[in-house]
Amino acid sequence: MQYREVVAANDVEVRIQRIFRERLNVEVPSPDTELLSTGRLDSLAFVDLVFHLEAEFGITVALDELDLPQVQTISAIARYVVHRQAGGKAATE
Amino acid sequence: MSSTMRVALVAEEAAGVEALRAMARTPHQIVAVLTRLGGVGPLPVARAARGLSIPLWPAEDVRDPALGTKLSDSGIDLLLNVHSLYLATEAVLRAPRVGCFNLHPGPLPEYAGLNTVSWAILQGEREYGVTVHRMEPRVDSGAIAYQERFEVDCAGETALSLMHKCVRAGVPLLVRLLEQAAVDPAAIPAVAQDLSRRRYYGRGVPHHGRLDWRRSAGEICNFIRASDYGPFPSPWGRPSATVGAREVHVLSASSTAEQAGVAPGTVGPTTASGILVAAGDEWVVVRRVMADGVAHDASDILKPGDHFDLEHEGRAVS
Repeated sequence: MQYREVVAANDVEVRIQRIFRERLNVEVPSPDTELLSTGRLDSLAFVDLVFHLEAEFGITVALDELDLPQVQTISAIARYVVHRQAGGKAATE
Repeated sequence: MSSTMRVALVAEEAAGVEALRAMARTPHQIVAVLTRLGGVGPLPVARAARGLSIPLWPAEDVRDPALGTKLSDSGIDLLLNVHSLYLATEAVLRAPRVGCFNLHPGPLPEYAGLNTVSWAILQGEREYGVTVHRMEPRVDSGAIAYQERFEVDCAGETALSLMHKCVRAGVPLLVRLLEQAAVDPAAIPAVAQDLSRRRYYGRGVPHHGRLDWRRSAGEICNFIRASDYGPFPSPWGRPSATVGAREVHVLSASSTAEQAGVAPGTVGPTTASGILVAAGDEWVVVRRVMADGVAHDASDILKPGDHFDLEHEGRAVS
């Protein structure tokens, strides 16, 4: 990942952490906290998260492009968001 | 005058967590949560209950008549079941003072049983719903207390998104039930189901989980969306078909409304969003597939000119 992308990802991580805290009412201690095995992200919260990611970052999230490793941590979600913001392919486009 | 209800919650899955959190925000007391406490996979309800310091009892206790006595001794007013599949004994069903109620993710009596959100999408329903009903020994057959119906997005709805709608609409119905029970239990609605309209769905997976490309594009895409729980495991798995002796599971696809004009199962040209495969009537654009356990863009696996096998009764037609 390039330096500029690292900076962008860090900013995105902060904003995603805020979505978890303020929209999903879930406290995530760190961007590397495991979301699935700790019960912080389940299938219902996942659908809400996708809605909020689209609104917050102005992206279209391709549900069928997301695999579990991409939603394991806030860091992983941020990498996906940065990829999409940079024009990375979404399968549904 | 309102009283505080004493509740036993039998719950599983994300819906169970959602219901637990919603009830914990009410003035009513969750005396115990009955949920799976071991076995394979995560235990989301047990984790959430521990976080709220609510006692945990094993979910399978609902099959034990002794639980009826325990519920009575604990002064339980209501037993609420959310997405737990254990069948309660009659002694348990009779024990709570007000009664036992189930949140069913489907409109009753039309969609009783298992995986009903998937069946509704498969069958192209335009409307669906969620039901809170009294529990009877016969599954999903008791009198309806509350029901809410909503639209199904015919082109884009997946099993995951429809289940999400059910829980978002259903949990407030449980809270409403609690509030009514606290004020006047006799005023809880009890509308008998018209069991002549009942349809019960079991565990079976339609078409043995196989895609038959001779079906219409609409039927094929419905089947794929009906099996789509996003990145989470699907109870139906993902529909599969064989191409060049390779098993391919189709994760996402949509219809094009363009006549195919070639044999069903023929792989056509790539497009901006995927690769075309001929259904019985129109082209289907396939976006994502899984092969050898790994998800791919469909165009990485399928090539123009490939042919999916056409099967009959589980056997390839030569």
